[in-house]
Amino acid sequence: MNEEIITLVKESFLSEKEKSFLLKIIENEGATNSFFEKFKILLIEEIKNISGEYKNAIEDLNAGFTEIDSWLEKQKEGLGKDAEKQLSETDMTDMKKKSEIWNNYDKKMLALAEEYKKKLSELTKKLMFSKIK
Amino acid sequence: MVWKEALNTAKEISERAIGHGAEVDFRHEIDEAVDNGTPKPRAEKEAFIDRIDGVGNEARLSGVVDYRSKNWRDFEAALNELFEDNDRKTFAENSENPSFFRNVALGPVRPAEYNKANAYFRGKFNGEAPKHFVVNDMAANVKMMNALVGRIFGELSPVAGNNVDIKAILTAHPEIGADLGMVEKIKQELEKSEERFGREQLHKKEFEQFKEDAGGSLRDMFWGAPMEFLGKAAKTFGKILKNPSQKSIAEGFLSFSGAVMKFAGKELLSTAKLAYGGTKTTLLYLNKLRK
Repeated sequence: MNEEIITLVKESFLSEKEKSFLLKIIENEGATNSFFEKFKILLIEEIKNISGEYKNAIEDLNAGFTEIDSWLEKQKEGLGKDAEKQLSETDMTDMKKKSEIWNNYDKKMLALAEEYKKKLSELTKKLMFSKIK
Repeated sequence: MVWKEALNTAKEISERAIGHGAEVDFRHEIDEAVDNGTPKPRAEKEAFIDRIDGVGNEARLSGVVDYRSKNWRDFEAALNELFEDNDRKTFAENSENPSFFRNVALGPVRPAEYNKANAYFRGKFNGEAPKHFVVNDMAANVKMMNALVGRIFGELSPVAGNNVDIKAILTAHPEIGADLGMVEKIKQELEKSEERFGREQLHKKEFEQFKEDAGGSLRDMFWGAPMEFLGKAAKTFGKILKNPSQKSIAEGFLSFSGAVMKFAGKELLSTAKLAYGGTKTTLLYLNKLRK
C-alpha cells in the first residue's frame, strides 16, 4: 500500500518540501507508536481523497477552459472574417473607410476580451464555491 | 550675444530632454546650410525632401516603416518645424477630400511585400504574426505610403532649387499637402496595427497566467489547509519519536488528540478543510480578480 501512496505523493502537484515531508512520515516503518500508526493510516487515506478531489476539480477546470477557449476562437474567427470581408470590399487606398473598419473591429475585440475574462472568472468562482459548499 | 547663445543652448538641451532632438537637428541643418550660403527656403525644402526620401527608402527596402522609425521621426520633426498645427489639420482634411486627394494606382500586394510585413511582426513578437488579412493590410498600407512618398518626392524635387517657401508651394498645390496628410494617416494606421497585435499578445499572456493562477488557487484550496495541519502534526510527532517517554506521549497526545480526532472524522475534515482553505483561497482569488 505504501508504494502506491508514495507514487501518488511523488506525482502530486505538491512542492518538493511538502513531498519530502509526507514521504518522511509514510516511509517511517520503524515507528511502533500506535498514534503514529493511526496517523499514518489516516494520512494515507486523506492523501488519496484529496488527490482524487483535486484531480477531479482540475479536470473540471481544464474542461471549462477548453470550452471557453473554443468559444473565443470561434468568436475571433467570426470577427476576423467580417473584417477581412469588409477590407476586401474596400479600395485599399480608402484609408478613412479602412480606419472605420479597424476601429469597429477593435471595439468588438475589446468587448470580446472582456466577455472572455468574465467567462473565465465565472467558471473559476463557480468551481471554487461548489467545492466549499 | 553670449547670453543669447547660452539661452539657446539651454533651450535645445531642454528640447532634447523631452524627445524633441530631431527638431533641434533639423534646425541645425537649416542653420548650417544658411551659414554656407544656401537661401533658407531652399535649405528647408532640401532638408524636407531628404527626410521624406528617407521614409520612402525604409518603406521600399524593408517593406515596413518601423513603429519607432528614425526616418519617420526625422520627417515628423521637419513637419513640426515647417508647418503650423492648422496647416497639418488642413493636410489631414484635404487627404479625405477627393477634390484634393488624387487616386493612387496600386497593384495587389506582392508576395515579397507580404513576406516583409510578416517578417516584421515575427521579428517583433517572438516569432508570432497576426492573421493573413492583418499582415496583408499592413503590406498594402506600406505600399501606399511608398507610392505617396514617391509622388511627393517627385513633385517637390523639381522646385527644390528655387527660392519659393515650401508653405507657399503647398498652398498653391494643396494636392501635395493632401498626400502629406494621407502619409501621416497611414503611419497612424501602421502603428495601430502593431499596437492591436501587441495588445492581443498581451491578453493571451495575461489569460494564460489567469488560468495558471486558477489552477494554483485550486491546488492551495485542496492541499493548503491539510498541509498546514500536517505541519503542526509533524512537530508533535517529532517530539514524541525523539523522546518516547510516557510523559511525552501523554503530552503529545493531549496537544494532538483534538487534531487527530478532527483528522479522523473525514467528513468533518473535508468540510472544515474546504470551508477554511477554500474560503480563504477564494477570497484571495476574488481580490486578485478585482485588480
